[in-house]
Amino acid sequence: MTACRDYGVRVLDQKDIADRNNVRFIGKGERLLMLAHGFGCDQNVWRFMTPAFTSTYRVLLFDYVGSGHSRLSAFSVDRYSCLEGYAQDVLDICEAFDLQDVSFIGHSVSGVVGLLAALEQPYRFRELVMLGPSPCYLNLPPDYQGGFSREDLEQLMDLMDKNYIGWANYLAPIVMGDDAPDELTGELSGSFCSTDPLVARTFANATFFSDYRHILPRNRHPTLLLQGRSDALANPSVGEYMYQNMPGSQLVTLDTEGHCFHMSYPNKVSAEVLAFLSR
Amino acid sequence: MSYDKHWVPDNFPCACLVTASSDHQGGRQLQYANAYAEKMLGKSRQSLVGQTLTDLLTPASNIMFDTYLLPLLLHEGVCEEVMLDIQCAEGQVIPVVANATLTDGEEGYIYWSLFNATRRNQLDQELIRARRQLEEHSEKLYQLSVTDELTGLVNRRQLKRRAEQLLAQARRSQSPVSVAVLDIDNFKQVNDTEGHLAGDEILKRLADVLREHARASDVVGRYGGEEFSFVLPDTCESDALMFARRLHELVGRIQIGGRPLTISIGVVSSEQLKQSINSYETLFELADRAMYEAKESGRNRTLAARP
Repeated sequence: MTACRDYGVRVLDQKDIADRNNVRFIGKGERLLMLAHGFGCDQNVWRFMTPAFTSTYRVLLFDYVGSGHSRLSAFSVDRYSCLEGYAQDVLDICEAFDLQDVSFIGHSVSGVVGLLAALEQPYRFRELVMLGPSPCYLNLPPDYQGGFSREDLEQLMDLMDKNYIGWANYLAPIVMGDDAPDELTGELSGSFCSTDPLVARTFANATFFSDYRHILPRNRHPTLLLQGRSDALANPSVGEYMYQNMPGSQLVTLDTEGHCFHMSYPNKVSAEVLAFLSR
Repeated sequence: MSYDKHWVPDNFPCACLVTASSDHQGGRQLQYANAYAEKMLGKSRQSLVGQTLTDLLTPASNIMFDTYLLPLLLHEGVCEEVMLDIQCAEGQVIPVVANATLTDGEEGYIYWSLFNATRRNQLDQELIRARRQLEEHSEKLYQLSVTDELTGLVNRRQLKRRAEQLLAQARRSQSPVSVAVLDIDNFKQVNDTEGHLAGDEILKRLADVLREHARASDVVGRYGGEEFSFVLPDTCESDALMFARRLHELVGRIQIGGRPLTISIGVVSSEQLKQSINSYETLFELADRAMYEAKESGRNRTLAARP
């Protein structure tokens, strides 16, 4: 009879994870910044801001599975139906590259993703920076105004569908089934803002219909909340709510319009981030 | 050809808008609107200029704008054929197809053309509905194709498919997988004396016991007739034998004709084989042979395969 071994320890292969999440390192420096894109696009959103970091910091860029140049075949609806799945991508990368003391910078939904990761493995993170974050996009009266009614968000799902109809593989996942080879279902992965319809739908659901307000009080890391003055996805009351409920957080409101202020106003945003990092 | 004074944006049959470039007002503030835009939006040019695009979009379209359209525009300088919903005067919503280009330079602007897409939108709605129906049908058919009708367990085809997936995972993580094959003892007699309906009833009750006994990660299916099989990930031979012992006890609670139901089980663990040959087919064959040996040596027992 054979004795049972302990198979609980998972060893992640660095090359495999690097390839799966399209991990790239740029810049030089002692400290490491991990930049996490939000819903909709990929790591290229950071290209306007990275020049401000690369002379003094080592910068890690990656794409969540399903976005950008990640490995589409690693996507599973189960894993990525909630934000914990995306946080696992972050942790997998930290583990594969044996990272500690990471300054995590997340745009939009990646703020909460970063918090989830930091709660799971606190020792890997030094601090968190959240750009235009929101723990919940739904209006939940009377106490909370995420900015959107359930109906608004259901219309968003429809609108996304309409925008994906023009894509060659809109019907492909059904017609070909889930055994279809990567090269057929995956041809659209790789373009900046367009992902596979199933991936986008799953990510949108995980982002916009979730409520992570309850985890905010558990924060233990120094956290910068950067809030745009006028941002439909994260209105000022959301930033204020997070600040009130997150121990160790500070809130800075920028005079910017729109949700992509890291692309529209890279200098303003990087100045605030750099000031926080070297505080 | 000379310039004609009639060639002005006001004569174009689409809404033409200009907004400030993104580092001024986030690319939103309207600087210009043509006559068609006034008509479509039901607002005068004076009231439009100074408003932001955000004011003209539905909440859903604003998310699309911020997470898809604007990033694309800033990254690539152009975006085409984005569907948006425009909030017009008197609460009316008009679906449009939006194209936009970003001009270079310090004083850059974004040029927009919005085409009324009411009819295309209807077609899209229909396509979305059809897709959802297709999805539901395909899910239903898939479930039918992998399920054993009588017991509701997975069928032989799915058993094989799931087993191969589990074995592939186990090879990567170098963990053992066990396969158990079990068969009801003297089932022919039940069918002969009690009838086929009673036989079916026994199969269903046994399936319920097997389902309950399985852990979340196990796969259990009906192989055919009165033969069932388990695929047990992360399970070495000694654990599989323990699993089988417990199974004998549970199955014994089912009574036929006043006597407890008994089964014979054969088990094999992938550790017993060289990695290159531990396919499901091989494991099943070994467990199946062990199961027949268990029958020959008196039934109601488990034997481990000795490859």
